[in-house]
Amino acid sequence: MQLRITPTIEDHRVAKLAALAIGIHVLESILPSPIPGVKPGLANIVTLIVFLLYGLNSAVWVSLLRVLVGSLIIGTFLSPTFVLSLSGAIASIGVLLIISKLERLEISAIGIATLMALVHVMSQFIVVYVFFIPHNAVFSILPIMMTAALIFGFFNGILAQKITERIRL
Amino acid sequence: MIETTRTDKLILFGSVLFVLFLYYFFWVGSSEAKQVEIFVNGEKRYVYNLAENNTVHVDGKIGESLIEISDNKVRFSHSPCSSQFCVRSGWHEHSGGFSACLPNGVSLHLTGAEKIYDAINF
Repeated sequence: MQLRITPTIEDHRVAKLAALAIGIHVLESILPSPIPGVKPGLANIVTLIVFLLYGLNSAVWVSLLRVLVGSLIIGTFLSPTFVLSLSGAIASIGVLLIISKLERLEISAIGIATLMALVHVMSQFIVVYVFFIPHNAVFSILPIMMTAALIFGFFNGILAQKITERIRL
Repeated sequence: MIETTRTDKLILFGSVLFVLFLYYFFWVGSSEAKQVEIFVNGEKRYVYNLAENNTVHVDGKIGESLIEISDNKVRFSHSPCSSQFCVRSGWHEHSGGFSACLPNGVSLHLTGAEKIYDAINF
């Protein structure tokens, strides 16, 4: 007996968008940063745009595929980097899940992106504290990282809004 | 044009407040050290309360280090070493803070109410 899997249009779409997110994820990993750990988080823009255009389900797929395949390409699979990447992605998905339940809430890409970025970094610090470095000194750098998250989240939100507008036209 | 809804503005305002609160909470308010442990050649030799101003003379490998405790802060005020890194590292006041004079084998560990690990390595 032969097992046949027929990919739907949605499967194709998820695959293409995940590939785009993975590309950005890998490119971003080679960008130098003045402060270790500070990244613009451009790959998360893809997750957000997918959420706005195609809904939560596709966004979850794109986000988790990006973390998995991205780590395989960079070579960080199952390393602490991967764990942090995954926890950030899961936390961001959590934000999207809550927002998708609150349909009456009028919130644009800018608000969602800011929330996602903050929750992303916050979750990573909790994971670092619980699993890797259980010392209060870890949190000394939290304010700086959260400031970066706030700024990048805001600008990513603007980018996501612009891109979504153009795609919808 | 950038479009923001009222909820967006609320989120942005709340986020800025939250980040400012983090600065206050982690940089200003918390993690004040309660006491300083002075180690000589890796052995804990003295423990001092940071609330009491004091000047401690510690005999190390190459001479006498002077450690000054003042205003809940502690520093190396004099050291016999040539690099003077310990003196230049200045005042320390946060729990988990650390300063050392390697040539003289003297180090300061600041501790708060509870002491936990430095790090776990895999």
